[in-house]
Order: sequence, then C-alpha cells, then structure tokens
Amino acid sequence: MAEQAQVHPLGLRHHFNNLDQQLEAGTMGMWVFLVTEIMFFGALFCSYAIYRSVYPEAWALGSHLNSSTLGAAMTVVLLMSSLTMALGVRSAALGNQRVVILMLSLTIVLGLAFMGMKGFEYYHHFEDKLVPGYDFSGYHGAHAGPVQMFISFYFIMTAIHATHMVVGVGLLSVMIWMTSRGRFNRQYYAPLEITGLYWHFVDIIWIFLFPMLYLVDLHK
Amino acid sequence: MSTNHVVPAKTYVYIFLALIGLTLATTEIAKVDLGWANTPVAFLIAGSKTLLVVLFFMHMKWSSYKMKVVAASGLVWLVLLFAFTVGDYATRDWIAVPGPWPQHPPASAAFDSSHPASVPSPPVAEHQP
Repeated sequence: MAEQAQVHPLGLRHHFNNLDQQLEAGTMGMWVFLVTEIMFFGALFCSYAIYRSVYPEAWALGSHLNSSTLGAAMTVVLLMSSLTMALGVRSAALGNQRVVILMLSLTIVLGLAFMGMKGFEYYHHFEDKLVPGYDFSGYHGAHAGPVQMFISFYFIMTAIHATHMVVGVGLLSVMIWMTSRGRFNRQYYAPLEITGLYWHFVDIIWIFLFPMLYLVDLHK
Repeated sequence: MSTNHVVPAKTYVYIFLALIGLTLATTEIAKVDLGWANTPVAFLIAGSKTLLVVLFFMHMKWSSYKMKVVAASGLVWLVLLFAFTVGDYATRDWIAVPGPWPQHPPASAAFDSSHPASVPSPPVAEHQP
C-alpha cells in the first residue's frame, strides 16, 4: 500500500489504518448493537410465547381483532422500503449520489406510509373501544381478560417497533443531508451502510410481529 | 466486507419478490388449518424471510467470518433466554419448593409418604424480620 502517495481519504478517522478496517469495525459495532436489540425484543417475544401457550384460544380471538389484509399490506410496504434502502446503499457504492438521495427519500416515504397505516389501525382500535387500560368495553366475546392481554402485547410491541421506525426515519434524514453535502464517495459511505443495517433489522422485527399479531389461528 | 462489493440490482429485486411471495404465502396458509403445524409453518416462513434479509439486504453473505459469528451470537443469546425462561415456567410444578407460601399438595404429599425426612419444613422463621 503506497501510503506516501495517498492523500487523507474522505471519511477516514486517524485511529484506523484504512477505510476497510474502519468499515469492518463500524459494521461490527452495529451488529453488536443489533444483538442487544434482539435480546430487547426477545424478552417481549418470550413473554408473548409463554402467555400464548397458556391462553391459546384468547390469542386466536385477539388476533382476529386485527385485519390480516392490513397487516399483509403493511408488511409489503415495509419490504418495499427495505428494497429501496438496499438499492440506496448500492448506489452509494457506485458513487451515484442523486440516486442515493432518491432511494433514501423513497425509503422515508414508505416508512411514513407504514406508520400512517399503523396510525389508521390504532385509530380504529380506539374507535372500537379495544384499548386495554383505557377503554376495553368494545369487546363482548369470550376470554375477555386474556384477550385484553393479547391486545396489550399488540400495542406494546407495535409501539416499540414504530418508535424504532421514527428513529430510522431520523437517521435516513441525516443520511440524505450528509449525501447532499458531499460527505460520501465511492470509497466512504459507512454511515449509510450501517443505517441500512438498522433499517433492515427493524424490518425483520416486523416480519416476526406480522404472524404473531395478525395470523394466529386465522382459519378458526 | 470489503468496500465496493456491489451486488447487481436485479439480485435485490429477486430477493424482494421472494419476500413478497413468502408474505402472501404465510397470509394464505394461515387461513388453512394445519393442526399442530400452524405455528411452526408461520415461524418457518418468518425465519426464511429473515435469512433472505440478513444474507442479501444486510450483506451477511459477503461479510467476514467474524461478522457472521457476531450476528449468530444474537441467536445464541436468544435461545438461552427462551430456554431458561420457558424451562422455568414449564417445570414449576415438578418439585415441591419449600417456602413460606402454601406447598403444592400432590407433590409434597408424594414426597412425605415415601421419605418423610427428605422434605425440609418450610423455613418460615428465616423470612421474618
């Protein structure tokens, strides 16, 4: 490596030997964070699993209060946002900054569309008086107590997921700003790559929430 | 991963189409009663989708070995979390636990009849101030 010939590369911090090492370290740091996120959501998933094994009928009844069609549509929107995110990072590697900004903007729009659909769903749960701790008088079926518990899981899990999406939209906005200011080039776009990892992770959480909250014993 | 590993755009599109297909599949399969297999099938599909996202969108397929180990460690900790928590809940009634709370009648009765001395009396005194 001809170090004398190399001018200080864009984005390289002085404590790293080169951009490859810097990207490897940053990516690994993000994965360690994502592992802690897996544990964070894992605790919720585990309590969900235990209560589902205790109250299987109530879990089925509760999941029927959510629309599986709307849930599937939300999944498709989120998967589309993951595609635009991946294409955005790819364009960054090709140095095509205008496409990066377009793709990241599309990702934000799709993320906001997802949250809009989520808000629509929340609104209907409030309208139908299906909000545990606030007003659950809209539910007249069997197993009212455990069904209320299922809906509590629904609200907590989706709200934490939506919070992650708000953070993701914030990160994407910063990435668009950095791209437009010329902070990245073909060799250096590590923040974009790492933001992509975060966005895809939030997508994965939803991939599991979808069958857990919308598809429980749908055939009944 | 090394810088500038560029995956063809069509690879991402194919992965995306596969993810959409699996989403529609899991939604439709949920409407059919598969008996005990309902939940395993739903989670098998979710797991496959996760694998596609991690391998391609998150570039794990082209990442270094140590990155794969870090990512896989998440799964290891998750399995431990589930194993110990579910293990606790599943086995709570297996043995009589001495304590100030009421003993589980069948378990303690079985212990008392065969080995009267093997079950210590509830250490009530220890819990008093």
